[in-house]
Amino acid sequence: MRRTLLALTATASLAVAVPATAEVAQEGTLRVSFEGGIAPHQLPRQGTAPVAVTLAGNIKTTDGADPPQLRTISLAINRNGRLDYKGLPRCNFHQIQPASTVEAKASCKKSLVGKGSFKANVALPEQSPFPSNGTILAFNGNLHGAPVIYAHIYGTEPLPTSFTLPFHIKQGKGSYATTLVADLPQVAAEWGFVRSVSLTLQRNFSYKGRRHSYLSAGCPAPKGYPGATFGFAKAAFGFEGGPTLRSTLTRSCGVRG
Amino acid sequence: MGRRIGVLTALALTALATLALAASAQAAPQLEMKARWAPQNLIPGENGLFVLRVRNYGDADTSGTVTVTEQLPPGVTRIEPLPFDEIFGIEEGIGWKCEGLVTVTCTTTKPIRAFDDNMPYSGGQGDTGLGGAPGYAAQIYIRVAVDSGAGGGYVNVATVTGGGSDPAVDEDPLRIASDPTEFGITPESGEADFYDAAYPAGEPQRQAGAHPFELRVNFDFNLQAGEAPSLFPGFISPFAYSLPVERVRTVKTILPKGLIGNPEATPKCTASDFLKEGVSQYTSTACAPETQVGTITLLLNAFANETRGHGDGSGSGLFTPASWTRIPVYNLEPPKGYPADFAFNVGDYRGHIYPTIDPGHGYAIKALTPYISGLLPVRSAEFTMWGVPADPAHDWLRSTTLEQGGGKKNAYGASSKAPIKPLLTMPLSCGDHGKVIVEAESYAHQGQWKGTQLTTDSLDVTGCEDPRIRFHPEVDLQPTSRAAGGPTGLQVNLRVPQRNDTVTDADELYEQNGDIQAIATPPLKKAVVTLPEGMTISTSAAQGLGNCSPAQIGLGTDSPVTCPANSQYGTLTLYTPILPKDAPMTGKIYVAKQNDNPFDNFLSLYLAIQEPERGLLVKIPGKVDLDPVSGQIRTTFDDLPEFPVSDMEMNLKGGVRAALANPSTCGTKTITAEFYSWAAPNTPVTESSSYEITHKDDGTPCVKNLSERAFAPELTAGTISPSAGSYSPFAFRLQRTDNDQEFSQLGVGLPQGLLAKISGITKCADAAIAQAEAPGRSGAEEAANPSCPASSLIGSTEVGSGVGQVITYLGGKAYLAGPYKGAPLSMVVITPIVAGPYDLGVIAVRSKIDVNPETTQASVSTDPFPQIFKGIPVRIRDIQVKVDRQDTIINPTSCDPMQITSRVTGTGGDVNTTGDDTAVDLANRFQAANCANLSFKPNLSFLLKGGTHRGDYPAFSATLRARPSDANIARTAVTLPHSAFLAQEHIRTVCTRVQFAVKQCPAASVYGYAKATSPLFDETLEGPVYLRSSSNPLPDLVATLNGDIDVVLSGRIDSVDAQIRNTFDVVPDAPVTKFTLSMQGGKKGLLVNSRNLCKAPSRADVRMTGQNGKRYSSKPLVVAQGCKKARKGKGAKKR
Repeated sequence: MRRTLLALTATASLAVAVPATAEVAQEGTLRVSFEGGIAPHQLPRQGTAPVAVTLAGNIKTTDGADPPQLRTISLAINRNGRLDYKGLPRCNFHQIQPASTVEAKASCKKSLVGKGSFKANVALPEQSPFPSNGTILAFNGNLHGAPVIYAHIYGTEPLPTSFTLPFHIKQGKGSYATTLVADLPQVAAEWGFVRSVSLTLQRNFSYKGRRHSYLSAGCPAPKGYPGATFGFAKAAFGFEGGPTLRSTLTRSCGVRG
Repeated sequence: MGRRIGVLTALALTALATLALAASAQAAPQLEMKARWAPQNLIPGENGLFVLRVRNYGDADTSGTVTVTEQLPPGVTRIEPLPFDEIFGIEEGIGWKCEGLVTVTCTTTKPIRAFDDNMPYSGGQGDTGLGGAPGYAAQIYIRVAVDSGAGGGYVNVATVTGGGSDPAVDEDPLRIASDPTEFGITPESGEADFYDAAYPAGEPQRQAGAHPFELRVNFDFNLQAGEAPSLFPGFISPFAYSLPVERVRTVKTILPKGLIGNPEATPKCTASDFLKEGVSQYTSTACAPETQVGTITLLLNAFANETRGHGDGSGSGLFTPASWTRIPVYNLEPPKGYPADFAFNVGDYRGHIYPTIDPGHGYAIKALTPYISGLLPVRSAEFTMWGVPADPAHDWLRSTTLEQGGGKKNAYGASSKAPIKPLLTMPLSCGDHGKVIVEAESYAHQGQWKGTQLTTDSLDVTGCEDPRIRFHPEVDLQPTSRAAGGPTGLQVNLRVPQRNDTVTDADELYEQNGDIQAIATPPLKKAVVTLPEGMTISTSAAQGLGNCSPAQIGLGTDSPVTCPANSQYGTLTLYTPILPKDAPMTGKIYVAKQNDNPFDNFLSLYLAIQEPERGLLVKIPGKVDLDPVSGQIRTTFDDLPEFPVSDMEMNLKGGVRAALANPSTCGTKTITAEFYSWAAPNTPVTESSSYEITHKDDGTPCVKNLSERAFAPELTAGTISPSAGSYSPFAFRLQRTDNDQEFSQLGVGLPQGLLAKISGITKCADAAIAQAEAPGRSGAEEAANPSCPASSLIGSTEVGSGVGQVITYLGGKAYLAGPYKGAPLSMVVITPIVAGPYDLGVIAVRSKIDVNPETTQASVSTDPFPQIFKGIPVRIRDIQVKVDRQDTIINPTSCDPMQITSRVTGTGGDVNTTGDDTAVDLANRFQAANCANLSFKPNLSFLLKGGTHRGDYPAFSATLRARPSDANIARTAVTLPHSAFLAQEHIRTVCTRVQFAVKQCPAASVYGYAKATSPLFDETLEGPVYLRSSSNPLPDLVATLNGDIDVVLSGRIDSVDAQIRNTFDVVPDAPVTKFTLSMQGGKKGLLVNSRNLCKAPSRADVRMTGQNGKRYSSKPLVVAQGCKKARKGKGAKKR
């Protein structure tokens, strides 16, 4: 399946791609810094080219208290981006869960579509919060007949553990038609607090003799403009107890060639 | 009661007036009537004999006709003399002419002679002008016949009139009955009393402390009748007689309690002078007149030869009554065995009256007149004792030896040159003192005392409020040692100043004259001595001390004191004016048998004076009260004998085993005493005596306050054999010096690994401990039948207590007991407090045994020690505990230097509270030996149950098996294989440390179960495994092993090389034969397979360190139980 990321309705004044910065959303003392970017910066004005997309979120509170638990992650990608997983081998959940990063990669190497990192704190009663850091591997998968991205997270500190988070790929309409939605499990029961999630999706593969890229995009700069600034993605983090912090990541690109 | 009314007019006069009249009135006869009969019980259908006696007590002969009238009782008629009686000169009375059958009237015109100075007289029954005893008329013998139908009780009335005398009547009870007359003193035949003037004048003396003019005692013996064979068959025998039923052997006279007789009131006649016979009349002695203290008159049946039988004798002259009138009684040097001897010579038969004080009658004077056989059959006796023997008023009856016709004879009229002192003193306690008791035994029936009470009226003493009664005791009590806190004896000196009762004018000694000397000093009735606070009973005295049983002291009896020598507590010396000053009474102080004494209390004393050579026997119980809080001693002697004591010295023994302990503080110590006299038994006279405590036993300054005392006890503790991992008895000893504060509480911390094997040991039940402590349970009972079962016995104790150099040790038993005061185990030391003669009961001191759950290090904390038990300060000086049950105490398997610690608290300033206790921490080095000899090779195996596939949550168990002779594990680290991931999604909750401490971990924090089997316990220790918050980065995996004790094994969780590792950094140095840790699987499993376990074997990494430092590592296979099944099963999924 091929999905076309529609050209962003960027303003013409944003002809020059802007470097990746963090968009901050705050509600009360809860603050989320959304980060993300697309690489390479130079993209064709017409058509698409394989890209790597990075999305990240850092969660903290302004008063130093433990943030509420992250329950949902929703990423809506500009329609100018195109998600192509046709012909890409799919990884089965049980192949990678539980498994170490090495084992998961060994099990579903052909389905690998990205990687990232995961940081959380586990704050048990009377216990100093201990970090639970892990590596994320993203695999192309299918869950109940629908495409998903399995985010396999593995860490050894403080203990070897893994969990796999399915991001459901939903297609809609509008500027941000492709949405990745994940419901986070109760990491370390109710004691886990996600501090940051970072994921970069990128995969080139061949299918029926042709080269494919898991993600492709072009730079929607008007003619005559060397680049454009556009709404790259919309991110939303839903937290335990109701608050959902959202942000639109605006990025720039340059016209290649 | 016999009542002789011979002085009707005189009774109307006062004694003083009588005396005055006696000097100035015209001389006149004074007749006295006395009627007797034989047998004493007139027998129906048989004959009897009445004997009528008339005495002239006046100072002039009678003149004219004297008429005696005998009114015979109903059924009794006179038997008239036979016609030929007169022919044979047989009369009913010499000089008497009788007529009448029922009312018998006898008359004589012959004068009855008055008493004269030709006395004393011994001779026949008297006559009426024909010689014989002056003052006595010839007796009248009336034979009577008793009707066979007669019977009952009557009052016989005999009267004498005429002769120029006032009439006199004798009324006595008479009984007609068929039962035979037995030997004895004729009831109501006599009288005894104290009078303030000479007979027949005088009023009964009743003033407390007064000195009577004289004591008069008279009584008769029961008579039997007999007759000689008739000279003429068919006619009644003219010869009838009466004589005592049996010959009297001993007469015992008991005077009312409280009456004081002072044999020191006169000089004493020596035995040799008494035996020197005078001349004529057979009554003389060589005793000086000053030694005479009274007179005695006896009427007896003699071998008469001067008569032919006046109706009371046979032709042979047998059984002729004879009288010995007013024979002088002398105060003799007493022979061995008697305190005094009043003796008289009756026709060469010497009689003795031996007075003693009788413990059986409240220390009343008891006079024994033994061996009366020489006096022939005594019909009656009259005894007069002078109250003030040297009083010239007695001179007319005071005998002297006169030269006469080249020989010697006795005559009255002598005077005494001795100091005038009272011999008799009335009781000094007011109230009814009863009557004089006279008892007698016969030769035929020795030991069968027949008695009666004499006295016209009870001796109801009055006048105790007389201002002349003075009672001013003084006391001085001094310890034999003045060392603070040390053992001490006690010297008690009590003085009761006595009235100077030696006068120049005897009248000053008679209370009616108003002189102060006339009233004696009252004796001490009660003494209450309170020793200073801090002076207490010393338990050091208990060793070797015995006690005296009621049978051995024999209170209230005259049985000799047989208290064992080891029950002697001290000595006693009494000075009394009734004994020579240079010969005081000496006695001993004994410890009474606990709870078996007159007070049924714990501690009592007996004061015992036993001088058989002087006939002195005094036994006085004294009650000792101990304040249960302070131990202060109060001693009470009550109902002391009513004889005067001028000085009393009591010495309670001192030395190292002294009975008492001095106060531990310096300063002035005051002893107070309350004294009560017999005259004012409810009015105390309080005296005090003080002494100074200036130094300690070692000569150093003493403290002013108990809290200033040092507290530096010494600790010794350890196992007898320190060989690592082996069983050995454990010994603990804590000592303090006399100058230290007392032990209050004790805590002992044992080193890690020094443990007790309680497997097979019963725990003594709380109920059994309560039984041991139950009030009333004696130490002897506990020793004989221990409350706790032998199966709970773990050791023994020796606790030494006392002051000074001698410590009394008491053995106790240590038992294992159950939970106590929050601790899982406890120990109770039960000590029967049996020391010497004392059995104070049982002291049970319980100690909780806390066990550190992390290290199993045991600490023992005692309850507060008893400081004063039943009023006796315990003063523990030395505590020795030996836990020596076989294979109970086991040494550590670590040979690291360790310590046995002890926190010991001293009592501070107040032994009865813990608020001011002071604590010291002591330590005793402890180190096991030969640890290197112990091997160390435990076996640890692992098993996974449940799913073997990736993502399955298997249950996990680890099983440790250790060899018995190995060193115990000190540290264990287990690293799980790579295949084991943390299933963090199954972390439900953890138990906080706070929750854990109070054992309220939420159920969701349980992730497994653990069991441990140890040779130390009968039961398996087991319990849940929690995730518990910790100070480590991750929660600890904590196994709680509950059983006899609670053990907590805390495992630190971390990772190494991406593997889960669990490390038990602290493992108790305790032998464990098997330990199993089982973690839940499935939805509760904390582990998740990261791969298929059946694909390749998994191994754990085990690294252990022994308590002896040895290390052991292994990589045991982690067996996945499900792999076998998976291999056998069909369609197994591959993951």
